[in-house]
Amino acid sequence: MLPTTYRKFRLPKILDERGNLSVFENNGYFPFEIQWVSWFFSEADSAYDTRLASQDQVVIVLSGSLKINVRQTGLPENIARFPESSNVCRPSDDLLRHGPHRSEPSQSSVLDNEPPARYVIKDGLLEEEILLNDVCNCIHLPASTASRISWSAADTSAFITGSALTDAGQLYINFLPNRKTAHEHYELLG
Amino acid sequence: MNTTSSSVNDCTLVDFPVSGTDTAFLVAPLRNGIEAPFPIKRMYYLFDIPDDKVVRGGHAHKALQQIIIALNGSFSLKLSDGLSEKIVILDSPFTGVHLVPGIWRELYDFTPGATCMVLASEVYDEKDYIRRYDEFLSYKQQPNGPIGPDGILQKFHFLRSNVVKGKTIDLHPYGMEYLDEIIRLRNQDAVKYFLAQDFDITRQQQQEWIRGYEKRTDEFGFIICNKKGEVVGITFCYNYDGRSMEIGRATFDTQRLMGMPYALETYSIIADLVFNYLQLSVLKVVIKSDNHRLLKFYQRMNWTHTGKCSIRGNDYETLQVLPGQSAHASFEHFLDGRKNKFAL
Repeated sequence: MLPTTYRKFRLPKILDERGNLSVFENNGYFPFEIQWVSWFFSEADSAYDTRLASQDQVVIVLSGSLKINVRQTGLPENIARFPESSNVCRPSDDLLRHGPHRSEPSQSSVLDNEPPARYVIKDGLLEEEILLNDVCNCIHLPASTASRISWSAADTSAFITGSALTDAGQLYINFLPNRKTAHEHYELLG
Repeated sequence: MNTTSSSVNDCTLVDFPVSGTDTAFLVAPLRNGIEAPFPIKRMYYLFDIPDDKVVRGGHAHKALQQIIIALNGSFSLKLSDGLSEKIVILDSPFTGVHLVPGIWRELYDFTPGATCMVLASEVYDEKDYIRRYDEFLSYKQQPNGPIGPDGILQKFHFLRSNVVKGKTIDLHPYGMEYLDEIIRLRNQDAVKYFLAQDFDITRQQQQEWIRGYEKRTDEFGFIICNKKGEVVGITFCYNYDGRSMEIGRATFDTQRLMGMPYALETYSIIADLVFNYLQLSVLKVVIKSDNHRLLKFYQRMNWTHTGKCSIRGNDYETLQVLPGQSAHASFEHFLDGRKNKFAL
């Protein structure tokens, strides 16, 4: 699988003098129909591994910042870049009118003009590090993508949603005790 | 759920199962149709909330269900169903409030850096919003919902908080201040038998029951007092279905009732309230089949036998009365015959 199958994108930010709002929903612009949701909260640095073999997932930063390491097989050259813009995240005008105190919302977009992500080849596998440091940043991890999500800032929280129902024991979201220890035992899942 | 009749008591706290380490926590996935109380189709979150003076929300939904969670910091959530209010302080990412449709909500007292996350059962639809409180109150009184016509929940609320004055009795709102008298009446042998209560009710059990009653908004109960202020009985109206109610849970002080028309006037007033004040079409009752005295009493008040039923292994008779067949006339007739005795 090529790493270009994942997408980093930004949710619309609806500006409001009473506090800002970001939103996603099942209406065609989100990468898939929500089948389950989860969220996590950290008071200190930690990490978790995730891989959902049969389904996609999206991770959204709600506070603080996340560093996501995506590991997958692929060609070692010219592949560490974000995908071209697409229609994956274009909310409807109706959605963007959310609320009576709205101002012009920032359009959601695929982040295709950022510098390339840092990546290394490790054990014949591509490992790419992606930083999500804004409350509207998201990443779409396609099925079979192995990833480690870690954070170092206190009070970091994030939302996770998946594209398919799975048995409760099959969700493959595993907390690791701490980042450094976990790194030594990190293996590509599956 | 009919959203015009939803109550703040239908909105419940949801504790999410959590796993993790000492400093990092993961909520167990909520799967649509399994752990989630509704299919989640939208998620939004509020952040960069400027100060603690901000009030968000200020609307209700006709069909949308939501779970509101304080992902960071804390805030207060005030809910209203048009009659009652409930305030919940949300301060944990692992506890949310499930909001049913037809509830007005306001969010305020945000701590610095607070993040409010909302899971919703539908995609955004402006037509589902009610953004003005007066419109919300009108919505809760729609004639095609159980709250209508003319705001029946408000009428229940009125009956639950005011004294209804009769000729030989007054009906006082049922409540905790009558706890001792309620226990005394409930533990009479005859009452226990006909209510199929094979034990003495304890003070704690009765307190819990009264607290449950105080949370319900779609029924009303009375403490029946004579004109001396003595408690002579208890009765309730419940099982409201849009056109009928059931009278029941009735208990009387058999000593104080003797020779007095307290029961007759009670049923007369209840019929009057149900047909003329609440504008309902049917008043029902369920009576234990071997309570021959009470069955005879209802027949004397022109109630019609409609069938039989079984409750917890006991046989019961069902009866009903319609407007115009009301017991009111029979009570007036009864009083006419005893004018001298009661010196009205």
